[in-house]
Amino acid sequence: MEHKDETASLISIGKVSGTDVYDTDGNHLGKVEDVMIEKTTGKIACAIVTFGGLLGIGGTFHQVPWHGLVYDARQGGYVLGIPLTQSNGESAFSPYVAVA
Amino acid sequence: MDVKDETTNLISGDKVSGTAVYNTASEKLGSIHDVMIDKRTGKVAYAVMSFGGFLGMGESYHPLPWSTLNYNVDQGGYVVNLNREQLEGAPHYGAEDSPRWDRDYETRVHDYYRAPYYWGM
Repeated sequence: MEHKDETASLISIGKVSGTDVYDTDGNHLGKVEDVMIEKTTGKIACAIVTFGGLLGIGGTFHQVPWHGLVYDARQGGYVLGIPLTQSNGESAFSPYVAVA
Repeated sequence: MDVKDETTNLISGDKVSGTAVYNTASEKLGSIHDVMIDKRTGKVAYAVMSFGGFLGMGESYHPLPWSTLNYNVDQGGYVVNLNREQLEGAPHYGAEDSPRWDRDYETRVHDYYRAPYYWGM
């Protein structure tokens, strides 16, 4: 990055992409692949997070609400405050369509 | 890109970056270098446009309030209602002189473009 990619209140998408995601116990879950922006409002609709897989290969893409990700400076990544699996055993996050 | 990068209502951050920016006369002004998100609200605050090699100077970065950009499908890029002179006079910075990005600076950027403050919306 040649320009400042983070300030007190702002962060660049270039910096968010590739950032690791952990659960609240500090276990590594995956990483942020991209974020989806609502074209008209400019609101982040969701982050696309890969869970599982090896070195980013074979992981599955999921839509995670932006507010579910809290940045933790100590781990240098986002902490996902929402369990991956709901009490009924279903995944908490919708899969995201991947095109190779 | 590994993921689908555009739907009817959504566009991915990766896809926005690198997209061309034109003025209303269809002159290319630059391209989107990056997008700045308000961490608290998850709302896009600025698209940072790179304006390359202007007047023999190095690349410069212009933070454009998101509301100043309109996507044009035919051109495959964003259109802003600005001419080159307006852009030259707009707040910008180089690789070595990042601004403080405090509220005073952000107010100045928004006032220049007469854009509504994203923090008040």
